[in-house]
Amino acid sequence: MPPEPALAGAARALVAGHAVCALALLVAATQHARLAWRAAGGRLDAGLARLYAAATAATYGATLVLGLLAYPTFRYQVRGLFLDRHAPWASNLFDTKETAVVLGLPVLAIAFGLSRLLDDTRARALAWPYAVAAALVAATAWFATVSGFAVAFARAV
Amino acid sequence: MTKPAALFVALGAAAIAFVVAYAYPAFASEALPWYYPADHAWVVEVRPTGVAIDLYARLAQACLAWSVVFAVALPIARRRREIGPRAVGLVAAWALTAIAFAMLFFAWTLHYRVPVPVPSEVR
Repeated sequence: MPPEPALAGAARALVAGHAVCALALLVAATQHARLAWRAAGGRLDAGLARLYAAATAATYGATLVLGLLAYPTFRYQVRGLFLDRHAPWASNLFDTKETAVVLGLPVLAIAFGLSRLLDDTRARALAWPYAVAAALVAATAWFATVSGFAVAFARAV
Repeated sequence: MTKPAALFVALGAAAIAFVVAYAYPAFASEALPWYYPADHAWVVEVRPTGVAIDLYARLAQACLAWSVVFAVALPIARRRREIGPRAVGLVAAWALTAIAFAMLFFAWTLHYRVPVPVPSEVR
């Protein structure tokens, strides 16, 4: 009988929750990026931008945590036993996505931190760094979600 | 714009620290706690001897570096009388460069990686 990694019994539920949170993240991050670019162009809706920044941070965090909990099962049963042998491209794509999501964390912190200062007139010079950070978070969310589904089509938990 | 710029400078510096701490094990022989999912065991080592995960340790290391640098940089930046647009631009450029460099390095490395599957007798 093959070894059973931690939380293997809950892995499918965790991955389903991970996917649902990822889809919510896509909506929140895209909308946040749109509002941030509007703010950089001088059309600021501070309340809505703050709301979507918080929604982006919450869904990013939830997606990451659920993914980390399901990861031992994925690493052994999916990647170790199947993908590494039959679909190495999917193993490599998954690790690229994982790296992109982790490296997106400090960018998320920048976007979230700057969204709290939108009402401050002294922060106007930071409108473009804020817009770029929000756009990078959205791009990371899109890349991670699309590549996550591509890997799942090759083999899921 | 001292206060908002100070926060941005601290977040930018912390982002650079995060990226450096996360990428460091890829360039140096650093012993990390690897998690072996099949054995439910943690082993501190430089290279794993089977199917193991270093993501948890690297993420924790990066978060720790982020927290330390943010905690140090924010009060220092706040104490500055003025942080001009040049300093803000410089921090943004360095943070963006660090993240882009790390991402490209990992994407390049992973594109050419040949994964080692679990030996069939273990299954």
